[in-house]
Amino acid sequence: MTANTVHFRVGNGDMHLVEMEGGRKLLIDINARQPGPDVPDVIAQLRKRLQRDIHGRLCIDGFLLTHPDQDHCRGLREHFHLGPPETWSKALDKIVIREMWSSPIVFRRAGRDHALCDDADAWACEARRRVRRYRERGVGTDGERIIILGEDVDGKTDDLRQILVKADEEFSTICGVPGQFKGRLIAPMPASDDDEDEFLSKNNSSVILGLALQADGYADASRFLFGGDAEVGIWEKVWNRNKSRKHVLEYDVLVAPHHCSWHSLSWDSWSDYGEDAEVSADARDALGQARSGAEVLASSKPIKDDDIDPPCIRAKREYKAIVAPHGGTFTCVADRSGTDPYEIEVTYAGHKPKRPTVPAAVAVATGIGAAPLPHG
Amino acid sequence: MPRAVARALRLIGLHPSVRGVESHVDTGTGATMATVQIDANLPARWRVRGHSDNGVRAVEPVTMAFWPEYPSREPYIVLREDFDRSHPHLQPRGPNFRPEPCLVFGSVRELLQSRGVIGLVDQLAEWVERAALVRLNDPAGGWEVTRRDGVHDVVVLGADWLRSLPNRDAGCDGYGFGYAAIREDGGPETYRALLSDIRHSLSQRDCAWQVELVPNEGRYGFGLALVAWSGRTASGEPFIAGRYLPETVVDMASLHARAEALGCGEPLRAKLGLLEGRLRNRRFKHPQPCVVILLARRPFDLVGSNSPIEICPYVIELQGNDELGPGSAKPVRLAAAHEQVTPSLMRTASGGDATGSARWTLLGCGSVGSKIATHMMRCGRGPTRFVDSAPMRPHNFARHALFPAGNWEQHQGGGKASLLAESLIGFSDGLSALTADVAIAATDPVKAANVFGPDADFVVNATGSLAVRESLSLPHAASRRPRCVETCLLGAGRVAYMAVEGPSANPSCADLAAEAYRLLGSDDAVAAAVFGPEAAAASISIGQGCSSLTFPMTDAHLSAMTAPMAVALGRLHAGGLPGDRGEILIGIGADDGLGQSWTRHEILPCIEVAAASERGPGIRVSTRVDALIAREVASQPGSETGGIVVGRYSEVTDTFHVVDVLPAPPDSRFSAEEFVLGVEGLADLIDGLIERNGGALYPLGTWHNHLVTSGPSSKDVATALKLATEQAFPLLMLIHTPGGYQSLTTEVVAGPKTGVPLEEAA
Repeated sequence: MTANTVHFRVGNGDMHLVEMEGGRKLLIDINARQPGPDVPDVIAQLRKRLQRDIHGRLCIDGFLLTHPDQDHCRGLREHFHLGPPETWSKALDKIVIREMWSSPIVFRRAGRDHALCDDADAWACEARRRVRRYRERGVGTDGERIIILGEDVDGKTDDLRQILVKADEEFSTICGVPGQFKGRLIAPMPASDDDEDEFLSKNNSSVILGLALQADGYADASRFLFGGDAEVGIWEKVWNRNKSRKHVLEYDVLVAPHHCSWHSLSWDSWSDYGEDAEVSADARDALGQARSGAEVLASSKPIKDDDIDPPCIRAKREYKAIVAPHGGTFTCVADRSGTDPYEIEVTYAGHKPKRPTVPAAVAVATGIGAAPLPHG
Repeated sequence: MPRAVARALRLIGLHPSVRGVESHVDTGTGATMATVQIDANLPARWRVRGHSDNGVRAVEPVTMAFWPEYPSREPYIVLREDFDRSHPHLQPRGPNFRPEPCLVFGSVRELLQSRGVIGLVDQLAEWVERAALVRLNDPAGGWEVTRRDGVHDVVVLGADWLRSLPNRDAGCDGYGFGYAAIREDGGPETYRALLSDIRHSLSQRDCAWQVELVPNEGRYGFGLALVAWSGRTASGEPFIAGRYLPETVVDMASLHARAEALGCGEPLRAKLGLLEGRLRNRRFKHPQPCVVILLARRPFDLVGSNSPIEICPYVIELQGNDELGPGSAKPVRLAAAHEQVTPSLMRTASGGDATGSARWTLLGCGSVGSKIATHMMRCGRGPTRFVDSAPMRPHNFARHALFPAGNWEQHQGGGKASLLAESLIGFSDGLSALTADVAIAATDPVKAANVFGPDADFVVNATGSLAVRESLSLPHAASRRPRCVETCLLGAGRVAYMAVEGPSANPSCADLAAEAYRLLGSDDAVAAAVFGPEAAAASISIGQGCSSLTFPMTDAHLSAMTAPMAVALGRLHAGGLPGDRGEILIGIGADDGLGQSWTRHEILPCIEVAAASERGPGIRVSTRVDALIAREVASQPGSETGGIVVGRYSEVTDTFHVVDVLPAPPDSRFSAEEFVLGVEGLADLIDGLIERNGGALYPLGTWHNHLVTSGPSSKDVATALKLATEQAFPLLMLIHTPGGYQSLTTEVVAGPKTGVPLEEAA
C-alpha cells in the first residue's frame, strides 16, 4: 500500500489532499474558485476522491487550515458542512469535516490587521463551536472533533490539552486513531513578547507542518513540509529554534511557502531590488534541508520570468539551487497541461510524481478547428 | 520502412514516458528494430542513484521489433539481456531468449488494436515502472509464485486437496496418477498427468507399472507421485520458505537442494531412497514418469490465492536402476500445475467470493431445475442431491440442460435426476440422485428425510408443481425439512418466480405463493399472462399417455428467464438465506423477449392465528393484512368495523393464507355493538377480483373487530353458519380484538340443501 498526495490547480492558492496509507484523508487548505475555462472544478475533483459514511455523507477525515486567508479557505461555506453533524442536509450534500486542524488564531478577535473573510470567519466560528463542545463534553465524535495546532497567548489554550498540539510536538493520530503518519508541528511557535505576538497574529500565524508519510509499511517513506504562507521572518525563527536539530526540517517534498513567494526567502522586495535582493541565510537554511531526490512544489500560477511575486522566478531559482546538490527537482502545479491535479505517489523508495498517461482522445486528435485553415 | 511502422515510431517518440527512439531495418527479416528509452519514473531515492533495488534503470532501453505484417501482427517486445530474470512478470521463455515482459493479462495484439501503439507504450511504461517497485515479499500484494521457465509437462491436480495434506510434521506421501505421454506436431514427448487422491504405498506391487501403447497417439499408464511438505523448525514454529528463489531444478541434485531449501528435504530423500530400491535390477522398455510435488509454505498467501502453500511439480523419467540420491545428475523436468475442476476453481473463475458452504438439494430436474443446477455448478455452488420423479423424454431435450445421446440411449430413458447428476459429476464429487415423487414423499417423515438428504441446508423446489409446493407446506413436513427456495416460470414463460422461505418455513412457500399472486395481479398485462385464458391455452400435452403439461417456448427464452434466478441463488448461497424474513423475486420478460425487469419483495413472517379448535384449519395472516386491519380499526374508534379477507385455502394443508382484504361496502353499518357488512357493489368487486387473477385469490370469509377481547358472539356464529352453506370450502371469520386475533371457521359438508354445519367452534 502506498500513500498519495494530490495538489490541486488553484492558481496562487493552496489545496492539497494527503491520502494516507490505510485510507485516511487530510485536506490542507482550499481555494475553490468559480469553475471556468481555465479554472478547474477542484471541488468536483476532490469529491471524487472522498468516500461516504454509513449515513451517506461525503467525509474528509481531517481539514488543516494553515491560516485564515481567502486563498486558503475560499469555498468553505459553500462546499463544507459547518455546524453539528446532525444538521447535515442530504439535499445540500456538503462535505463533513470529521476533524478540524486549526491554528489558535481562531480565538483572536478580528482587528484592523486581521480582518477575516466570510469563509475564514465561518471556519473560526465552527472551530470555536467544536472547542466549546469539547470544554463541555470532552472529545467529540466524527464531525465534532478538532485539534488546535499551537498554543495561544495568555494560557487561553491551557485547558485544551487533549486536543492541543504544541510547537515541536509530534502526533500521529487522525480522528482519534493512528493514521500511518507522523506529524511535527513546527509553527506557530509561542510568542515571546507582545510585539512578537502582534507580529504572529497576522499572515505569519501560518501552521508549518512536517508530515512523515508511511508507505508499504515504511514509517518514514517520504517527508512533506507544508509551509502555508509563512514569510521570511517566521522561517528565520524556525531556523533559530531548530538549527541544533535540523533533521526535523528535512523534507522529500516541500510545498514552497506562499505560492513560491520571494518573501519567504528574503526581506527585500523582488520588484524593487530585482537581482540585488538578498537571500536571508537563516530562512534559506530553514527551507534548505532537502533530502536526496527532494522535490520543491510551487502551488501557484505558472512561474514566468518577470517581476511578479508570487510566484517569483528568483524564488524558483533559489529552490532549484537548494535541491540541485541532492539530485532534486522543482515543479509548479501548473506546469502540466490539462486541468488534472498534480499527484505524487509515495512508495517505500520515496516519492514519485504520478506518470502522465496518454488519454485515448490523443489518438484521434486533430488540428482542424484550432486555427483558420485557408484553402485555395 | 513500412508507412505504418514509421507512423508508430513517430507516435512512440511523442509519448511522455519515452526519452528517445532509435531504429534500423533488419535486412534479413525485414523487421524494423526500434530501441525505445522508457522513463521508469523511479521514486526519488532510486532516481538519484539511477536504478531500483532490483536493477531497473531510471531509463530502460526496450527493444520493439516491428514485423512487416505490422499492425496486423503486434511488435515483439523484449528487455535488455541482463534484465533481472527472477522478475515474476516475465514470459516463461527460457534462458535462450531475451527477457520478455508480460504486458497484459490477455492479448497484446488486441491491446494494439483497441488502444493503438500509444496505448501499447503506455502499458509498457506502466510495466517498467511497476517492475522497479515489485517486491516479492509484500504481504498486501501476496507472495509471487516462483517463475519457472521451460515448463515441459503438465500435472492436473486438486489444489485444495494438495494444500490440505501438510500437517504439523514434515512428510512425504505417495499418490497415484494416470498419464498420457503425447507428441504433438513433431514436438518433444510431453506428459499430461492426472493426480488422484489414492495412496500409493511404493510396494513392489504398486510399482509394477503397465504401459498401454496406442500407435500414432501415445503412451498411457499409471505412475507414482511423491508429495513432500515441510514441518516445524527447532523452536516449534512452522517452517516458512520465506526467501524468493528463482527456479533452479534441472536434475536430482538440484531437486534435493530445492526440497532442502523448502524444508522437506529429509522426507523426500527417504521416499526417493525407497523408490530407488524398488527400481534396482529393473529395466523399463518405455520411460516411466514419476511426479514429485514440493509444497512450499510461504510467509503469506500467494498472489490471487487464499493459501500460503505454493505447489511446485516436477517430472522424473524412470528407466530402471535409476540413481535418485542427492548426488545424482539424472535430469528432472519442470511441470506446470493445472488445477482440476473443483468447486473452488469454479468459484475463482466465476469471480465470486469464497464464502458460502451450504449444501442443497434440487427438487425437480426438468428444464428450469437443470439450468439452475448447471449455472450453480459452474460457479462452484451446485447441488449435492438431485431428486425428480420422471424419466427423461425426447421432448424434454428442447429445453433441458442435458444433451440427447444416440437413439438407442434415448430409448433407454433414464431418470432425469440420475442423468443430470451423472452429467455434472465432473464438477464435484459426492453427488447423489433419487427418483421419487416429492409430493407423496413429503407426507411421510422417513421418506421426506430421504428426499431432502441427510445434510441439506436448503432445498430448491424447481418442480413447478403446485402439489409439491403444498405438500412441502404440510405442518409436519415444514417443521422438519430444510428451508425451501422455489423457482418456476409462469404465464408461458413470460414471468419468472423465485421465492425464498423465511426461517422455520415462515413465511412458507405457500404463504409466498399467495403473496406473489396478489403482487402479480396488480399489473394488468402480467395478470393476463399469468392468470388469463392464454396461459391455459398455451400449455400443450406431448405424446400419448404422457401427462406432462408444458409451455411451448425456446430454450433460449427459458434460459434467459432462468439465469437471473441462478444469479440470485448464487448470492443466497454466498451470503446465506435472509435471517428474519422471506423474499419474492419476480421477473417479467418483455413482449419481444429481449428484456426483463425484476422486482424484489421482502415478506415478513406471517401471523399464525390460533385455530378455533384443535382440528380446525390453520390460519396464516400476512403482516401487510394485519397492518391494513389495524389501520382500519384505528380509523373507527369506539366502533366495530370490518371487511372481507382474501387469499387462498389449501386443502392439502387445511390452511388459510390471508394476503389481502376488501373494504366494507358503503352501505355497511358501524356501531359499538355490531358491524354489518353491506352489499353495495360487493358482488362486482369480488367478481372482478376473481376474474383478474383467474381464481388464484378469492374471498375466504370476513373480518371484523371487537372493542374488547372476546371470542365470536352468537351473532358471529349465526353469520358464519349462514355463509358456510354458500361456500365450497371452510369459511373463515377473523376477529380483531385488543388482545389479538380470534377466529371462527365453519364448514358445511353435507348436501347443500341441508345446510347443516359440520364443525363450529368458538
